[in-house]
Amino acid sequence: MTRTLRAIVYGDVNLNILDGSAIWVQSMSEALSRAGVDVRVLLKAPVETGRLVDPLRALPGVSVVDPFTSGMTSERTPLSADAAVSLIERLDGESPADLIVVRGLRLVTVAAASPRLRGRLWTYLTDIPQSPLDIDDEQRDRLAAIASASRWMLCQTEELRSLIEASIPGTGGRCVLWSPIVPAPEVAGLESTTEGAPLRLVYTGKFAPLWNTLEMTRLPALLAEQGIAAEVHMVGDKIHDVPGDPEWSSRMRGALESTPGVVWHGGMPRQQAMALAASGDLGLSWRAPEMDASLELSTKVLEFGVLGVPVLLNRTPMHESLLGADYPLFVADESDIASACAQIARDPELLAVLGRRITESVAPYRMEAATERLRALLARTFPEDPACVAAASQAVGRPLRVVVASHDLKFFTRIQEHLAELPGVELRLDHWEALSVHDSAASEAMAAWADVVICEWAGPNLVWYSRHKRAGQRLIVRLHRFELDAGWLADVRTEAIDQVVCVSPFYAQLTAARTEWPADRIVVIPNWVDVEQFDRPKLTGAEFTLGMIGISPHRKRPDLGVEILARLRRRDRRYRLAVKSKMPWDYWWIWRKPEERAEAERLFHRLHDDPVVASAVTFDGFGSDVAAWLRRVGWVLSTSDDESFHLAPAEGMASGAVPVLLPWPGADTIYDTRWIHTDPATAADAIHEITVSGRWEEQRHLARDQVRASFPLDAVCDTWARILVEDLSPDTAQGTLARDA
Amino acid sequence: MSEDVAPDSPPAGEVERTTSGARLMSELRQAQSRADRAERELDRTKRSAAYVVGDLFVRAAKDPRRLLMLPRDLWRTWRLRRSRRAAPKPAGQARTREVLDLDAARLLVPRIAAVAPGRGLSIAGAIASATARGWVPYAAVSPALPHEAAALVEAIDPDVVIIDTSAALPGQAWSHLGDPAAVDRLLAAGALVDAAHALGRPAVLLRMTSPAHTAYLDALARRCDLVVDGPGAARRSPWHPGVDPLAEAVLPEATALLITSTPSAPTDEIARDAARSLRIDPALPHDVGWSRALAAATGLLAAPVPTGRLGAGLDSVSALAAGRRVLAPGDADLARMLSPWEAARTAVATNSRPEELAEIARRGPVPLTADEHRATFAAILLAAAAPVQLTVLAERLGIASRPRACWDVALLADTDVDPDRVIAQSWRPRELIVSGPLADRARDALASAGIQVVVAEQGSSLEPVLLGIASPYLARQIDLHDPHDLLDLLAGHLLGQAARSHPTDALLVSAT
Repeated sequence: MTRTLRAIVYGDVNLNILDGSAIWVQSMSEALSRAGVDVRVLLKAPVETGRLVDPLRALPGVSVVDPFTSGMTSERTPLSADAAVSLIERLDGESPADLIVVRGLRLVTVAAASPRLRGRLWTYLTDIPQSPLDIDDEQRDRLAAIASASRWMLCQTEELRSLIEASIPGTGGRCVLWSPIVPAPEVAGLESTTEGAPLRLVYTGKFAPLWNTLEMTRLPALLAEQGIAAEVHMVGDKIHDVPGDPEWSSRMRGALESTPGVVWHGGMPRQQAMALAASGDLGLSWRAPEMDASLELSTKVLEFGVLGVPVLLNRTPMHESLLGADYPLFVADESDIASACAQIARDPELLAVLGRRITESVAPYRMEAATERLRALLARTFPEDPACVAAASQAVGRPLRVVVASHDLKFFTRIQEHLAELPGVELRLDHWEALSVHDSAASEAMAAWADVVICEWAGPNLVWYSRHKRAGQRLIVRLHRFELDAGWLADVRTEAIDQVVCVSPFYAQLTAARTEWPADRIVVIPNWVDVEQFDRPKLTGAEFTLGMIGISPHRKRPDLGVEILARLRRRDRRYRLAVKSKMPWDYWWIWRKPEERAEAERLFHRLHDDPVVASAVTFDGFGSDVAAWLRRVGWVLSTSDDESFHLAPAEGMASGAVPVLLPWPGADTIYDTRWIHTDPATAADAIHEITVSGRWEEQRHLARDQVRASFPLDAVCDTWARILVEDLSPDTAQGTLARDA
Repeated sequence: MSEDVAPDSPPAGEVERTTSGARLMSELRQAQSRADRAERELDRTKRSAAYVVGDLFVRAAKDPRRLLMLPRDLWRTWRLRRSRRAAPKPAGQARTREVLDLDAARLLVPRIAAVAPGRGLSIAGAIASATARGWVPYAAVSPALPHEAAALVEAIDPDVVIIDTSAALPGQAWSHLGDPAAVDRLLAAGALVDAAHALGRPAVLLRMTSPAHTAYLDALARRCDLVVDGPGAARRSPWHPGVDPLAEAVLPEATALLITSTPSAPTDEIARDAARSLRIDPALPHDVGWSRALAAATGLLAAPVPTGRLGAGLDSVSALAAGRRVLAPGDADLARMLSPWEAARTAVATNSRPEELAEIARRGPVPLTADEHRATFAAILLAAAAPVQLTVLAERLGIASRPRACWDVALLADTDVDPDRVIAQSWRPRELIVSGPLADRARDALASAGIQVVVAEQGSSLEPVLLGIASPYLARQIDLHDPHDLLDLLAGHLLGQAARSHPTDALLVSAT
């Protein structure tokens, strides 16, 4: 990154109190600082202790904005959400920020309503309903408004990302993973347990009923009954008052102060607490079952992991995915803890083995790894000009003026976002209401203004712009598929077109054959696949789940997908087919065709009547949560009669599924022929052979590496940036797009 | 999404017929969008407590009969408050779907979903195939797929909607329900509950998988009218959904050894030994495949339990019902189920020491003796037989249906019978046939225990068909000092064991 980015960070959290939210502000600021961003951290409350603020001030490139001492506010109480957003706007006015990182639903709601901040917000939410069943319409609308104002929605866990993407419209592709960060320990650890010494169990954090802290104080006695000498070391000074049980806090304090075998260390700075934790044999993160439904990941677990201290914790899907389902220290109650401790006592070597294992598991959560992820996200959000664009912009003494004219931008959104972010480009949209319906005065103004015009779809928009092209202006068109059969191409002024972009060599060659356009101007830039968005862990059973994305109209051939499934289920009933699509009757222009209705009837009759496939196909609806849905899919089918590109196999490959294609015309110019099968029978044979031979893992990694090499979003965007000023080689329209890693 | 003809809009030819056509389409879309928003707002208002309660009062004021029902209606409004509040709906789709709902419902919902009359308890929902298999002979069962579930419930109006979490295991129709990554599954389950409530039917969450795998279903559990836990040590008051013991018991005699759960997985060597002579046809449905293969097997089978399953699994119980021994180290639920039955305790090996596991595997299959089989079967009748368990469930839900009636027994006794000993029978008779009236106290005690007293006139025939009893079985001369005598008799009868296998002169015959 050649220019220095500027960020404002506000966590809506009192940094005098040490808790997870405050730690998040610290970690986020540090990661931004390490990534070379200038950071202003706005404080919510007057400073009472420098325990967290001082380390922030010490970070390079980080300045702490204290509105209570700088005269920005006359209040002495913590900022309200409205006041905080006003101050953020003021800071942004003084020195515009490239990104504004905010946390907390109340604050983020207000920030999302600010026109000034819109589009630059990086929002982080944990205080939202954790189940889709608890999200009502009002909350859904509120979160949708936040999504639309956010550049990125930062999600603490994969599970939370799935929840947001599937529940909130407009969040697909906008959610990125921002896991909790755990710092490397800076303080040397205390002396660890020596042979024959009591087993040391360590707890750090708040004292509250749901955290089972009172129950933990009973462990030394319980373990003693089993013949295991043990101590429980507890760090923290925040004892909760419990509504409905006013005596709880005094019982907790009493247990901390006077229980034999319990050592209460009181409150400690984070690094010191980590040092004490490092001296333990086992960490304690055993909680009440009510906490199991949370989609948040405990930073304490991660801290123990970084320290190499195995931790006793509840078995939840998230903990299983972090540590593996076979992790032996999952516990539900005291007797489980006793069993685990007995196991450790019998086999002390196990501690070292588990310590190494947990350290490996939490490696992605370390500051270094988080900083790398942040750098990549910043590079993607704030792309740099390719040299040719920078030179062209410099030559005219201003950014290149680019107009995108289209009635439908859904295949162009990410390219458009990328081009709009380039410093050397100023981008405007000429939005056509329908294929041939537009405001001609607005288009004329655009034509007069632009250096470069991109017509997305070779429709009447191309006809119009080819006839209104100015001298020296550059006209680029992207042709998909249906345009080749349209009559209007004859009206296009061919000589006005500089570059015709097709998405596959097959269609490039077809375009050359069917039009009189010069072949040397017909080039190929593939469709893009956001490989980072799709790269998510697979769910159990994915190797037996086929997936189809889009089954309408009938030429997508869902019947062939069902035929492949039937052939597989005759061998093994674990195979299933998941379909992500609208139904044919959801498209009025499809459903009014008798032949489409007849095919749908046939398909559903088979699904009801054929015992081999009955109950083995689920229709999982239509939505932008394709990446989350693909987690359950191990094989992505492409059985169409014809396609121009068909992104589904590519998206499936990016998700780590194996593509299975039937040979639609041009498939071999996009995808490796190893994935293309002559008919449903050979496709089913191949799937089953790969599954039973145990090669599914190997094949899916191969597919993922191929798609990363063939159509990654950043490379496609970069090519689109270059074509603004220079012609691509017509050689791109030859051969195949498939590349080996 | 990956469709190169714009999926959200008609293809060019459709729109390009006229420019005004395009404008009209655009205006229509905008109007539709406004209508959707207004509809959502209206829907939200109509679901608000203020509207619902106000509406009830207005209707009560207009009609005195409604006034009498007002307390019930208010209570019902309160009970169903969650379903009224949530009812998630994909934004912007409601109006479009309405137009096409007829086609959608016709094509989506299986044509076999209609409930045949006279089938007793009617159950629909997310139900695993193995669970359904046990219930089908005793209830009308309609397992639903996620995309059709709510429509199916609306179509058949079952007595109860059940969400069985074993249907969420890999390979099942509701796989991943309960995994936070599968939000759509949870929404479909929520819609299932809403559909049940809309019909005034109860919804039950049956947690058949481990607590870790149902933790994320808390919000769903809160919406359900009843949450029951399948067998599993970690849960309070488990309820076994039951198998069909008759189907299992009549399978060809064979012996097999089933390893159902091991706290530490069996070593490769044990698994290899155990599996040496058994091949399962993978073309069979997974669960049925296992079960049938077990029934037909003469070799050994190592079948590690799928991740997340609890003890006393349906496969284990089925194997026991079929007279096979089960090696189930660590399965406290099975051990608990069989513990009251001296002769049944040896049916399950619960050892988990690797060397003893290996020895058992090497020894090969040893069939249950007749006594062991009868005792095991009796234990299953009481704790894991589908008609009995479904009756328990129906009672808990206040549904007037009694699937266990198929095994009701009328007991012939003297007039001086001790009612307490009759009531103490672990398989309590449904009817007591005596030759003369009983004392009031005895009659009342029996009635409150659900036993109907039938007085047979003096000198009348003891032919069951002439006694006018409702029960399908008649028993006599049982030893009332043995609380399990009637159960033992019934178990022996259902197993087809000769009457002489029973230690007393008691007799149980079919009354039909």
